[in-house]
Amino acid sequence: MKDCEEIRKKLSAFIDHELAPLERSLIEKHLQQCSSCRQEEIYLRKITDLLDSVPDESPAPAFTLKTVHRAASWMQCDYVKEHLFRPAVAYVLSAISLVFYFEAGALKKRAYPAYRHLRNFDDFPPESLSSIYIGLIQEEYK
Amino acid sequence: MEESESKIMSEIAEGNLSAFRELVERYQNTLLNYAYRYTGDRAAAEDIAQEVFFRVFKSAKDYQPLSSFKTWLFTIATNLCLNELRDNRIFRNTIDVFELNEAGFVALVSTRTSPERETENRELSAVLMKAIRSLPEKQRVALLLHKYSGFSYLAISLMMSCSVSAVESLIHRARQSLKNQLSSYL
Repeated sequence: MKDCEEIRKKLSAFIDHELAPLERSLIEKHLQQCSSCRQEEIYLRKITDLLDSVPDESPAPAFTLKTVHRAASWMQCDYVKEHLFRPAVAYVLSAISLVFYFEAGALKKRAYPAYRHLRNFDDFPPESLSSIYIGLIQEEYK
Repeated sequence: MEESESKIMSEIAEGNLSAFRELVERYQNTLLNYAYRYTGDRAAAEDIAQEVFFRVFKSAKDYQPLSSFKTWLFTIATNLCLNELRDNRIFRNTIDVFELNEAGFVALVSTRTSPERETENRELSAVLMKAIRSLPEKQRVALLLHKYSGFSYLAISLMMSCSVSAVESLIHRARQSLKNQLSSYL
């Protein structure tokens, strides 16, 4: 009985030709003598036959074309990304940085017209109202 | 065989689309059927097969022929099938046996073309597919890889990172389970 349990565990591998020759011959001998294990083997073989009866599916006619097309599109995108998009992004960012740099300088100049204008009159006597007013304006723009 | 696949992969890495096409044509049937039997969903199986080939194409530059190409291919396919099932993207489409018949999901190729025989075969296929899908994940993977993709127990053990005797046990338990479910057909 113990033998039968061990043999049955090996029956699938036996059917699938996955056993070493020695093990295989041991099982073959056992099957010749044991009708219940032989019955089990027949059932398992029937299951294998049933599994074989499941028909194969064929891919859709356009499957190959679609798959290759997807790869080609990716390759093009990859090329564009590597060779065109990244350098283009780098150029655009550099251009934006330059524009921003110069524009910021211009803005800074444009931001202080009153201050610059008032500086022309900064030779008022100390503590005079004009001098205090200019001082306040300068503080505000700092 | 294996050498030519390495060569094909190096050609793909250089952007050769004809080589890629050759690879797709070589493996599309086995991959599609594996994914189909795994998921039971024809459309999902095609998506999975296409995704596998796409991933192969993308990683062609980094491909190292350390293990069998087919093993690598089916490992990707198995992972994608598992992800699909875990994300529940497929089970919403799994339908009952009789609904499957109505949907005409199996294009049966039968030598005996009588309508009764065709219906019988279709029903049996649907029952079988359902039974396969009901198997625990590991048992299903091991059985499908062996039965329909022709992998040896040793190759499956490498793919599943387990021992050969564990694969033996998984396949045996899968057959036992199918035997119990399909006893009326035996």
